[in-house]
Amino acid sequence: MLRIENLSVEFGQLRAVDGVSLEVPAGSVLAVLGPSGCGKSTLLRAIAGLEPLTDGSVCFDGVDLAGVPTHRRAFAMMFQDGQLFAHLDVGANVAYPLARRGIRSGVARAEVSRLLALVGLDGYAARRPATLSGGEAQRVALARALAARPRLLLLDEPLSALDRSLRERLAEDLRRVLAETATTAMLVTHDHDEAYAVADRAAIMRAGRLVQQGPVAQVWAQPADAEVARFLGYDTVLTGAAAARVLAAAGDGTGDWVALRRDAVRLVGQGPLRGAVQSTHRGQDGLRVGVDVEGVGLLVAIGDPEASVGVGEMVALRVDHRRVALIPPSSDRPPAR
Amino acid sequence: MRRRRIGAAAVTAFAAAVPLAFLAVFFLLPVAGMVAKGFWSEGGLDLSGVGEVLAHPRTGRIVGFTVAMAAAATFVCVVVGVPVAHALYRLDLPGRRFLRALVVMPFVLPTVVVGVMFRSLLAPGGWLGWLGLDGSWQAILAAYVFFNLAVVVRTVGAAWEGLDRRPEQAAAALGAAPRVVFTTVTLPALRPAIVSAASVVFLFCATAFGVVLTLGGLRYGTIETEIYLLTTALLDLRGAAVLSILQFVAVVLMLVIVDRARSGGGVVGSGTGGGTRTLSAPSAPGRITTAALPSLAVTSAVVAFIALPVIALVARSLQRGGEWTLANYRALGALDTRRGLPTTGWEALATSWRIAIDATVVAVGLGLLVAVLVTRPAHTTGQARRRRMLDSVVMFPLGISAVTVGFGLLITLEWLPFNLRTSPLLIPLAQAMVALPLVVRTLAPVLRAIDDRQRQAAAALGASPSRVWVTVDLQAVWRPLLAAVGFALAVSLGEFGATSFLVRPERPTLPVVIYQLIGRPGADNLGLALAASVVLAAVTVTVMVLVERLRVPSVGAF
Repeated sequence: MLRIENLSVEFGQLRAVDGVSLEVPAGSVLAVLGPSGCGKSTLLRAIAGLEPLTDGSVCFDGVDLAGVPTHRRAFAMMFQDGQLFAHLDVGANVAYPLARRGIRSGVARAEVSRLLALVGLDGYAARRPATLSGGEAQRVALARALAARPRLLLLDEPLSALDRSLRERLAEDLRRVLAETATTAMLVTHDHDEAYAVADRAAIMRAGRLVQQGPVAQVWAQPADAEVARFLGYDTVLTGAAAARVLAAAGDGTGDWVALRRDAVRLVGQGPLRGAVQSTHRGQDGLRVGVDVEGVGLLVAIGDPEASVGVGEMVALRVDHRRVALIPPSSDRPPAR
Repeated sequence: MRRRRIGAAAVTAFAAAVPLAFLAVFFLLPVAGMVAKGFWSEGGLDLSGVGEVLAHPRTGRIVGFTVAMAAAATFVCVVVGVPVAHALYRLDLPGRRFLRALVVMPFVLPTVVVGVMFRSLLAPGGWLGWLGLDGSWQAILAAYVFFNLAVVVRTVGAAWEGLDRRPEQAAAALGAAPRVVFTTVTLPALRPAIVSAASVVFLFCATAFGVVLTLGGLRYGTIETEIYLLTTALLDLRGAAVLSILQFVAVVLMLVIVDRARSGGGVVGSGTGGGTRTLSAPSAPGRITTAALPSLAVTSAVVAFIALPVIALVARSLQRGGEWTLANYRALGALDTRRGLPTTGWEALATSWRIAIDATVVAVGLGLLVAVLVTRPAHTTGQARRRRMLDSVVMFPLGISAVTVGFGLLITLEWLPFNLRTSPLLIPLAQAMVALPLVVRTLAPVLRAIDDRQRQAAAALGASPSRVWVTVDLQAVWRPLLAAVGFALAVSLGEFGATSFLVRPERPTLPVVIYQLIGRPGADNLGLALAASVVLAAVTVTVMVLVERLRVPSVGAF
């Protein structure tokens, strides 16, 4: 189990990571989520021993890793762009950590084919990294990282360089491979979908600090504050009377602040909310209608693709409580709306 | 964590100490000796020498000539070099690899050989004797350009080859004519390379020695030849020291400006280090269109300009008394006491070769160390600053004249606790000093271009630091390393400035022999000098052709 306590990293005046404490239990996958520049990559690099700590500690299975160089930590790292060694073929890349562990020749060859099969790249051993597509390169990088038999696998935005459909497919494969190999992993990403698809637990970072952590589903259901909610893909964050009206319409608890996903509000024949249509716009998930809701303000609702509504028309709206998150009142940040 | 950092810091400090100690003994000490000679007399500070030397009208003339000639040569090199860089690095020109090698060749030709070449071409009876330019300033200017054009072509060409073409294509798509694309997109992108190359050319020209000594005669002198004259002929050590210091100050100033122009601010964090230049994969050369005609015309003229003195030298070395003969080459093997030379030409070549090998071992060893140190990613601003400082400091010898180093060493040798004066390592060490910056300039860009995450990936996969170095750094650097070996070898073989001060009379190197021969009257001596020049040039050029086959873009680029 990885345990980080009060970890800080400074670059000159800048405190890139500021007093972060977290744990990654054995066999689980933690996603550290945050916008670019929040210090999440620095945190990962500090855990790998690539960045000196200003303060705090990194312990694995109760052993403080201060003074243990990167190559003795047995934490493999996978980079956004693979960082395969261009002068070695795919097989030699995957065999690289095996050789470092003293495994060579026949045993290594078998292990290499097993790992390549695991990531879905059977028969790629003789290929040059330069001939691989982005997705293939990342699969090789994953196989190579797993070949190190890491106690902890560190993944730095492993899917961010790939296009959307490939990313979704690879995210699923990544989850499967990590589960099959029972690998303890820590994933750093700015993409909440990626985190949701791969990780068991999520930690949200902002400006060097940890603002929330917990099981993935729980973090999504209860964002710590408005900013986290927005970052996690919630479209709209409401407060005060507007929040109360929407919650009443959803028939779901009470709270100061409430966050709505983009498909939380639906156009219906009869509903608890009413308003005048401001704009309409056809999207892939249906008709998106901007409605000026009485006592709430502008909300975007999803309607039947066949529905025909005109600007100025009065319409009724329903709120799906499963697509709404309550933000605890302890939150000290004003909503951005 | 902290303990490891301290350990790593100790290793780094020790690694930095070796080249710094070398620089201290073979560079700072001579310069300090010079300061002492110039400003210290009868146990006290004495600045009267400065006033005396500076007030002398001759000093003004010499300094003016040095600066004006260097500026003129720099201007010509840039104006001519940029079109040649275009033709040789951006166009699909048949035989461009050969032409590139041809253009670089003069840079590694020994200065003395270049002097002999131009003299044999321009002297009465030479192919261009009718121009009456023998011993003129125009001849010196031509030799400067001949010698330094390679710097501009290599530096600008390497940058141009690696230039992303898409901005140019975007400009063209926006309606910019080729000429406009060049002035608004290409030229601004090449500016750092041009500035860098121009500064280096200026430094080289301002500190040129062998060329001026062989071509200028008594009519023209630069600060360098004046120092030589004051030291060896007039025995005015104080005057020589004042001039050396004057030059040193000017050069340091110049290097600071170059450094500013080259890079903008230190890099903190996990970046790839200081420099702004990246070595990307060369883009495919373009087709030759009518727009390329000016570049091609300039290139043809340059090729003729470079080839003519070389051909003239070879032709004249094969003649004696108007007849074709190998007599000059046969004489290289004969020990002729009438000439007053203690060795044969071949023995001098062997001496040169042995010294060059020692110098290369030292220069490449230290240069690799420095290149690795200065390209390590810095974690703090302080670290980044220290690395940039080390990078600048090892460049000093590039601009400080070899004469200063040689002369300074000569007068400070007895200060050292060990006897270096009679050590066979003296000349190799001084030559290594001259070659060191070139080695660093060849290796550092390659190491700097390595993505540090490659090293991190290897380390995270369990590779020890030495294994990381073998996997990532050595893989990238072995070709440049070989190229640097050849480059250092070629430079050491032709080194004349420092060697001329330090060489032992009974064991001269080949460049020293050539200089002694052309100083003596008689067609026999000149013929022998010509033959020796051809041999020396052939050896250095062969080495450079082998280097060129390694295809390392940073060789000879600044």
